[in-house]
Amino acid sequence: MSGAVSLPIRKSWTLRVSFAFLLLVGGLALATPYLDLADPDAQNLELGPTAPSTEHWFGTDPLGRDLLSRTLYGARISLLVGLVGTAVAVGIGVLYGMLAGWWGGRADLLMMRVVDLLYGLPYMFFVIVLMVWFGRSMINLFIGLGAVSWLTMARIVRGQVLSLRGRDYVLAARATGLPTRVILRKHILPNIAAPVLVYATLTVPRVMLEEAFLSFLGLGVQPPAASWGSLISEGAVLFREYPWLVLVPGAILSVTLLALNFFGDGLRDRMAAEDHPA
Amino acid sequence: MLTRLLLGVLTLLAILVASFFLQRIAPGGPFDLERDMPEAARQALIREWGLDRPVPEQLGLYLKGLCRFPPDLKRSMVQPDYTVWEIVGPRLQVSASLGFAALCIALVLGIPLGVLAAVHDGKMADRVTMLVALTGVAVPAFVLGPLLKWIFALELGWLPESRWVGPANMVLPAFTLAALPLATAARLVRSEMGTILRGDVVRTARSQGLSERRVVFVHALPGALVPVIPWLGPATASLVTGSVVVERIFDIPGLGTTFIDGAFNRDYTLVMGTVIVYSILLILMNLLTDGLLVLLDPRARSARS
Repeated sequence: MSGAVSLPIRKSWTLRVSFAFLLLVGGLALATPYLDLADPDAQNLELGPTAPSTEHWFGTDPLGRDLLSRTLYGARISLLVGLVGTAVAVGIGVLYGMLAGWWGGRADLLMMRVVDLLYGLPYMFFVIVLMVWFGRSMINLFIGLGAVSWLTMARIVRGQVLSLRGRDYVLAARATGLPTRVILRKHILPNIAAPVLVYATLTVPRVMLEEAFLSFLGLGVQPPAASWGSLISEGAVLFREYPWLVLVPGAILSVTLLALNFFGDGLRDRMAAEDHPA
Repeated sequence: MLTRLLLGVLTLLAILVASFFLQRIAPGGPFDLERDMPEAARQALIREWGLDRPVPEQLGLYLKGLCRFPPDLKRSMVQPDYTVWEIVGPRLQVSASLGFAALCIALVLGIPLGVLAAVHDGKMADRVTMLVALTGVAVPAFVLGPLLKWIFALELGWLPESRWVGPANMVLPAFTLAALPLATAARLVRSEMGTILRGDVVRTARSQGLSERRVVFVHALPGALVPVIPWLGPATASLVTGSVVVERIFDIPGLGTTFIDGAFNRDYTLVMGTVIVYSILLILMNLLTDGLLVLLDPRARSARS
């Protein structure tokens, strides 16, 4: 969850494969309500837990619910939390980073010091407390995860703004007396959009992982809704008898996180290559 | 160094104040859970704990207790037979040994893996190593833990499945916890080592006819370790977070479980105690890594003075 380190990607096929995979997952998640699937909440206590079969591709859980259907509906929630949490993080990070970079000097120093300090804290504890004390609602989940995931974004944006604010067109805009708000929105923001998007892509898997972590502890998505994390959590209790209940959603979560990381890293490498043609 | 120490104390204070206010503005309280308690008794408890006073005054009293020697963490609000330290102390020992073991595994395996990958840049060894590292990043602890448990405890029967009674019980949780930092360490070392191996230091060393082994381990490795050191601070933070999950999977009586139970029970004093212990641990770790960095990297010395 900490430190962005570049993955060893040389060929862009990883970018393509991961993008294709993400399209597939995203498409399935969007199409889920229209697919001919079993009701994810429909219990069948007589059936009980069954291993994967032709009837139930991913098997069923102890309440006889179809795991394929639950996994697909879970994808909707996991991805939704990942995207909304990221949006919150991007909002905070971009604003904070832009102001720090724009003001520069002491304010910048202080603001970045705060970011450094927050980096060293186990911020998930803050989210745990938020969820326990202020209610386990989706809104709190979005806010909590977004509020702790903006640090890297703030650093990146601040660095970009710092290098942009001395450019001629920015100086010209200032000379014409445009208010700061307008300069930031019209002249700075469009020019930092690319790196922001790339790092937003890398934030999505982190937020999804954090959601799964919370759901595993029973603090994230609440039943009857289920995300991949809560599916794993439900399955972990019964792992000894029915290992597929963890292995199936666990594998899907892992592969999706991997694909998101590959995709984000691939985009970043491509951007770096455009900036500095070898 | 002194300013850093001061900054650490300030951070601790900020965390304390923030958590204190956060728990006081949250709806509900520590004595709501016992339904049978008569209202009069509840009010008496609230008065006894001073929860009816203004929050800043409560905070002041709490901080005053902390300034004593030894610091007074008060009694647990929900289990008043124990002081907070009596609950937190033994669990800190468990969590600290687990975390330390995991960090050791991560460094002892992660650094050589990173070196191996960098030396065999682009070849098979590099690919395999980085695949291992990638798995560590992509497979979350709550998937890896049950998986390891299934393979090594249930199928092979080599290691105990859970609980915390002997050294053998430590192996699976420590490796589960180590996976993420191991992968990160390997990737950090690989990328820095790669840069250094293409740089002047190594070219000079090679031109002197030194053996490749000597070039890699004596001339390149210290430089490649530099990014690992500032990372140790955040790594400790992520170990702390990760241990919450690992404790639950392997049924370990650690500090993470204490924190969550305390949060659920609204045991304010217990939560504060856990927060204090964690914060001190992390601040010390950050100070330590700063010091190490200055020792290892001459560039940091001039930049800081």
